[in-house]
Amino acid sequence: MSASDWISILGQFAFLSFLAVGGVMSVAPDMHRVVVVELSILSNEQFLAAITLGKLSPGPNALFVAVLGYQIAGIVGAIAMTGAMIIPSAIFAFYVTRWRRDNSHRLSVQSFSIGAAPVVVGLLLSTGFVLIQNFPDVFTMICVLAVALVVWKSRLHLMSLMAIGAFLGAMGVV
Amino acid sequence: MPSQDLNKKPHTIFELFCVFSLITLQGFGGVISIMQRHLVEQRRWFSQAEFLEMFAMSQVLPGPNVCNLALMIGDRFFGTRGALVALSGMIVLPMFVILTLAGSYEQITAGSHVAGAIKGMSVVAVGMTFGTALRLLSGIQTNIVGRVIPTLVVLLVFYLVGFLRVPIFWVILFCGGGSFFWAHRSLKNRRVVKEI
Repeated sequence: MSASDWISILGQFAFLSFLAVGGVMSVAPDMHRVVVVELSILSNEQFLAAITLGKLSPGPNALFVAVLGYQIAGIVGAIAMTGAMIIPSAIFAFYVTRWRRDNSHRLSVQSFSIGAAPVVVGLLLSTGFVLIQNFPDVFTMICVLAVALVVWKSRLHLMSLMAIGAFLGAMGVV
Repeated sequence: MPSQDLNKKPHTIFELFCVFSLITLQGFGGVISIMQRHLVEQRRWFSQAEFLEMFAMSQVLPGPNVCNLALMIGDRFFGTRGALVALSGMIVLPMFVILTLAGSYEQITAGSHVAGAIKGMSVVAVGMTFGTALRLLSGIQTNIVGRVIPTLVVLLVFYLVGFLRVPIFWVILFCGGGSFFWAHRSLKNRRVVKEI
């Protein structure tokens, strides 16, 4: 891959970083357009494999971008792509956070804090609700609701829940 | 933040790195549940309301939400250095894990037990998202704006995004905007009352 291709990819990813309101997954279709359709350096299968890995491995889902970079150019590619994706939005977030802290006495900043809270909780609930539809059978849905109830009402360690889920899944129960 | 004094905090910047590494490595299918549990309920660095406030901010900003959240938390405790360290804690070790997995992707997806385990874990992850959302309900401040409007906003957002699949942008613009103006009005009224 040529240097100009690299500049193009990293530049476009850095730009997408600013558009990724609501998480990096929201710009995944645009990333697909850049690396699979326009520059055709990765196949559709490779892109999907990266998304899947991002979902199943621990940490931010956004790290699927590291896999894309890895598929293109090994470790160096992984670091370059992750940097292009995270650094611009992180710098922006940093300065906005600072501004907000220095202006926390303002009525508009306080209103934002109070007003945004219920919206965010509503969004998190809908994320759960949309994801539950990936499991079409009633038994799995009941399992999801049972987990939700346990997380809501008890202080059971979340990793032990994960381990139980992994075990039951491996046994073919869920 | 007046309640800051009651909260605990990390003693060293290394502790900050370790805590975020620990959180992120447990975050299968969503880091936010683990982060809320660790920082609010186990370590008591923040109250439910403070955490929710920062979480809201991280959602509105572009980029990976949990990374933004880590950055804000790091900055709050140790300034610029803290922001960098917390952000690195979130990505360095998981990046190592994901690239190792990328090397053996074919074998992973082929094994039926492993595929089953992944499915089991994704079921738990979805349940955790729900459970955390329900826990965070208690962090919504009601002393100034009352209970009715925030409850309606939660339900409306849930209905619009969860059932009708309205694009999030419009929901944030209108529901968020409405909620903002209600909070603004309530705060203003309270100030007027105080001045009298």
